[in-house]
Amino acid sequence: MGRTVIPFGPQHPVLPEPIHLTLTLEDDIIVEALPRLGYIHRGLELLARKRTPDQMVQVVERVCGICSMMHGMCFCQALEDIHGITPPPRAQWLRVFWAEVHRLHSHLLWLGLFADALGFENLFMQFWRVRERIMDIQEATSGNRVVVSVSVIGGVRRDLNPDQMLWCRTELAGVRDEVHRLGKAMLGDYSIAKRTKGIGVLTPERAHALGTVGPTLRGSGVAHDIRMLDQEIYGAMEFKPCVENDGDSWARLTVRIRETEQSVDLALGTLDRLPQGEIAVKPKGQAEGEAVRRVEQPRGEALYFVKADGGKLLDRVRIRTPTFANIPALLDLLPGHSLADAPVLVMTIDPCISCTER
Amino acid sequence: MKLPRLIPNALRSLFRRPTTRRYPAEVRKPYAGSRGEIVNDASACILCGLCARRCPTSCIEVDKHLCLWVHDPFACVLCGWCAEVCPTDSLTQTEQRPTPRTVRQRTELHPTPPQRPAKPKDA
Repeated sequence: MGRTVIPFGPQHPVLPEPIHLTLTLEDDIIVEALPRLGYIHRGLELLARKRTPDQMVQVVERVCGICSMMHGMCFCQALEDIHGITPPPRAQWLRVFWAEVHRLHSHLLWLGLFADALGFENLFMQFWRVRERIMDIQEATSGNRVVVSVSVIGGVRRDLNPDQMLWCRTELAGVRDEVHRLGKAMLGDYSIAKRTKGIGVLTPERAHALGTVGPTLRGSGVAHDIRMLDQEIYGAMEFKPCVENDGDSWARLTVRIRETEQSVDLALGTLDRLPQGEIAVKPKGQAEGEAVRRVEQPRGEALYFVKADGGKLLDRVRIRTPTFANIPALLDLLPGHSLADAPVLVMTIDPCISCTER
Repeated sequence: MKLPRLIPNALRSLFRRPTTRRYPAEVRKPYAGSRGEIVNDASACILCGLCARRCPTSCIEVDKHLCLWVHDPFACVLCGWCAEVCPTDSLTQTEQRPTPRTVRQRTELHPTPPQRPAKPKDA
């Protein structure tokens, strides 16, 4: 049988960001998928040699808009390790609050986009309506709707006052109710089950061998979450990662819906346990040394390597983002499925291409 | 049959307020502390250049000799650090978001640098 080559992307209705996949088909079935990346490479890692570490915080926040909080937080944590300082407890808890609110907004964005990829336009608009409330929380507490930009080396820039905390509590409780209702509608839908159940199965062994991270890995039944390592904050809130065992698109969808509800609880938990005190300490002198930090982003584990040689500027910043780790899994998923399933499968790994290309 | 279950929902939606706003005609008030436009009060600026040094996008230029303070609003990411480091609080961040503009133009101000106190003459 003859083979057909279909270019998928970089401009495609289902893709919010540009990635190109060359799909080789036999009849209607994909037999091979090859990626091409580099459409939005900006060279942000090299900027570390031209910007001071303080300025670099604003740069790494712009590696990716939808997980900017975690990028900034991870970079600051790495530099705090190099400086040998510990941010005050209130700052650490506030960072977790914003990180969880950020995860909420990212997961709601993905749920909307996934519903859209399946052709469920109404649900897409409903999820984004709820996301609007989260972005209002971000604007009211940090000043920006998406790139919250609250992390500094040694703490955070903004504080929450009691009125804001009370308002955030009511808003988050409302969001939890709405997410629960919409999640039930999504998981109870016959067409969504038909298009996701048993499609794109990634076994735990294969997921582990490919180095998959985040909800894609947890959907395959591996309980791997960087938040589990944080005993002080997530341990105090008795955090348990959401895991599904089927490994198909349905499992990855269920993990994200459950994580959305869990993030509301974690954000509310941080508000309940927020200690009093300072919100930042000042680092002294120039940084010298190396540090590696990992953080759990909405899409999975991100790794930061920062090297400073004691000068005014940093020597090297290396960022390994979750989508970079998940692309091999995507290429493994696609063969054997029909072309009509390709958009949904691409969406299930939650591709964030601007992260990947930096 | 699921159809009759939709009727109450449809009736509710018929009388509910719309979720969206008629945007250009109706604008929501920004929240307190929202990061908006950068405004410099030329009369209080001492041309120290701290804002230009802190800016992550290098959108501020300060020239003490030409008495020039320049801000490029198109390169600015509204992080607000310039306003935070300003020693005289002449630089402030308003709560109003910048509006779309048709002309790409930089903001140029000519503040007067502070006069150095005259050296006391030896008696």
